[in-house]
Amino acid sequence: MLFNSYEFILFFLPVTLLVFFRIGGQARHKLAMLWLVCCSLFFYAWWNPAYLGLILASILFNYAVGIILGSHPEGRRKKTYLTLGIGCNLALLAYYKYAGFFVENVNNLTGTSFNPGVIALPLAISFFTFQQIAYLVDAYRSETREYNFLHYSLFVTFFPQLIAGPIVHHKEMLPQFGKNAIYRANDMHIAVGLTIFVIGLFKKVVMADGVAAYATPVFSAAEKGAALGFQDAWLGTLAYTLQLYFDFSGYSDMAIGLARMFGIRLPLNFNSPYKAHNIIEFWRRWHITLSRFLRDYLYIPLGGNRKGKLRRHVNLMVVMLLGGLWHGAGWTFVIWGALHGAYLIINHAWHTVKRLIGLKSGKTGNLGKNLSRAITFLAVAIAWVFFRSDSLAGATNMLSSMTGAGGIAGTHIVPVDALYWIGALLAIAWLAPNTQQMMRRYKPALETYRGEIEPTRMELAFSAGWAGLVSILAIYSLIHVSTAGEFLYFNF
Amino acid sequence: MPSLTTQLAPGKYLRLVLGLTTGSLLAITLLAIYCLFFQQLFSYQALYAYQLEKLSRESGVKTVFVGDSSLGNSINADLFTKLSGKKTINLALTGRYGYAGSYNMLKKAVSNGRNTVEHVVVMHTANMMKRPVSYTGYLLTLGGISDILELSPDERGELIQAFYNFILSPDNLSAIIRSLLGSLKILHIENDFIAQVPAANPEYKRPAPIEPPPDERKARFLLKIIEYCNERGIDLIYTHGPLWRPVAEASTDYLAALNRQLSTHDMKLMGDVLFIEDTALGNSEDHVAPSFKDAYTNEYHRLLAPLLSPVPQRTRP
Repeated sequence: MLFNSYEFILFFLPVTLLVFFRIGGQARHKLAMLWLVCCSLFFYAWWNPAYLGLILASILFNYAVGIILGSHPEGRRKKTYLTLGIGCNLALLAYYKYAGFFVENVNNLTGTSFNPGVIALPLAISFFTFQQIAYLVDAYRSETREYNFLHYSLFVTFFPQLIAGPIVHHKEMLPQFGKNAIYRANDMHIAVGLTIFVIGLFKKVVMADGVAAYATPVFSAAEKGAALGFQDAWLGTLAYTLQLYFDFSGYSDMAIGLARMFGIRLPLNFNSPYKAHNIIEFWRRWHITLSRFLRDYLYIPLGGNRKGKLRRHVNLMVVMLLGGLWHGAGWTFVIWGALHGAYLIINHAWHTVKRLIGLKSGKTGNLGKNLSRAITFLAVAIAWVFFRSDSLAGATNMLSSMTGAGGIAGTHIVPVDALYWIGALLAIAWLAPNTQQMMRRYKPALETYRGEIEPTRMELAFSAGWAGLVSILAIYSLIHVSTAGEFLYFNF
Repeated sequence: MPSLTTQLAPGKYLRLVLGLTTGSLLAITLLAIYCLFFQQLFSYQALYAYQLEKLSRESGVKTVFVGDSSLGNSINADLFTKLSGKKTINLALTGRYGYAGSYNMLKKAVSNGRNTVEHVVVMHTANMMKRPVSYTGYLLTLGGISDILELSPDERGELIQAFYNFILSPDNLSAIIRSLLGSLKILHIENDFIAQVPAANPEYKRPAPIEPPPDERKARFLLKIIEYCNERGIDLIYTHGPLWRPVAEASTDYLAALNRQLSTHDMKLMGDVLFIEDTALGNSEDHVAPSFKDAYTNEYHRLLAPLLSPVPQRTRP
């Protein structure tokens, strides 16, 4: 079920909320939690009931391993259980997500013709697998423990974050599930949640899907080998850069808003990434909880920056390559990850050079800041070409067209009005405060980095004016809901 | 009195957002229903009303023409009846209704119990497969709840959006306001077409080729027409509306691709495009001037006659 569908907005959400608070208001908290778990499973099964068993088995297995890890003292056996737990999770992911890719490459290399059959990728498998791996590691480190199966099930299945994140920590969620206050309807939480949800819905339905119409034909033409003009190639790339931005930003807002209606604060996952002045900062703003996972459970265990500069660069590249593969089983995703790995290495090297020549980061003027923001944006946009393309041939065709190889005026696939869309959305991405900043006074999300939700002069306060504006966004979005597409991150 | 910026308690704010949203959606919905089903606000609805009225008094129809204004301007049903010896009705609407409007008109003609339809001729202008699927056309020609129920969930979603977009589009809001002010111009209907007036901006005088490829996804409702006719053993023929010669000659690649696509379906195809010479050109590149309508009817009959011959009745389980 999509957040941006009539069945979700008009039926599932109101019924789930009403019954949850009805049961919770009678102090039957376990029953209310059970209701929420059942609703979340129903929400998941709506896509394909066949995979309900898979997620339930995954929950049961990880819960059991977590119990074992929590009850064992430090030692080799405990490490074996952890390895077994992580291994099984990765094996599940490998089978469903990477088996086809692996066999295809083996066939290409060896000339064999193995056929793994059609393996449908279960929705959200990357997210709930990573979330549970993090839980196992935290349990191993004795940073968290769980004895209540219902709590654990809700931690994994809680529908606002189940399909595409944020990837939450057990220790972030469990204390919140244990609060009595969340079981009673709270006007403040519902008002804050609804406002954030509506803003997210508008971003997705109007902005992301609106600009997608300009990106899709260009990438399709590139895939077919058409010689694209310089103008079309760049407009298509910028359109996709903005589509992905508003799609993921919209989804993240909706997830945070939905959770907040239940009195739950999710971690911030998206924080105006195109305002970043360098790639390191970009990854502190884009898919924050995935970056946090990769840092805490991959980069640091690999040695992080503790084993010298060369090792740090190798670690960065490994992490980004795997981060690329996490997004999809394909060489385009690997190259996208490698590009970001290279960007990060260059970024760290630049910091070293700056230190050597005595340039201080804080002394950069406006021109320097804008230039670094523009360079970062450009680097990210170019990398998105690989992320979006279905094949390496399509991606290289796009990139060569972006150098002007197909002529300047070229194909005219993208109409002129795309410029207005792209201009307006770029202005919003670069200049406007984001949803979390506007809602800052209501503490909309948990912060991963202290102070990451910066103050703004456009903070929203509950007033008739804002109520009117939010209603207009809601009406406009609801009218356009029926033709909205899936969230792009649902594919990962 | 509190201003727009006065801070509100969360509960009051929440009630205001929910109240404004649901209230506005309800008001828009009611207004849309009123405009759609109880008012003839738009010029193209006048043509639809004209065709419905004609259909209500006809009986014994054997040949039904459905399509857009290229059909309305080029086929004289009375003359075609004389030429073919079979009672013919022309239910042309406009391009705005698309294949979807044609589909609903066909169902109305077949299911009213007074006709024994043997042949259906679908005639649309050549670029119809470049235009978006007209859910608005389907909406505006709905015959009843069964027309909604037969759609897939996705199509129903599109229909809901068309419903809301109908009322929210600037054209329609402007028509509603002009209607309320009493200044809405009602167009005159002549023999199946909206009376031609010289185009204010003769853009069509500059020939613009139709670029390939035709997009078969735009023909969703044409596929429904094919299925509908096949299920009932009705002989279905597809043909193109006439086209101004310079446009047709500049669009040969597109027209060839279009015919290739159409010929893959279970229907007969008369793929020739009749040229409209400058002297016979009406107020758009696919409209024949009214004085040439009979000449084009004769020509279409000559080309369609071999396809209109009796065929064994096909039935499907």
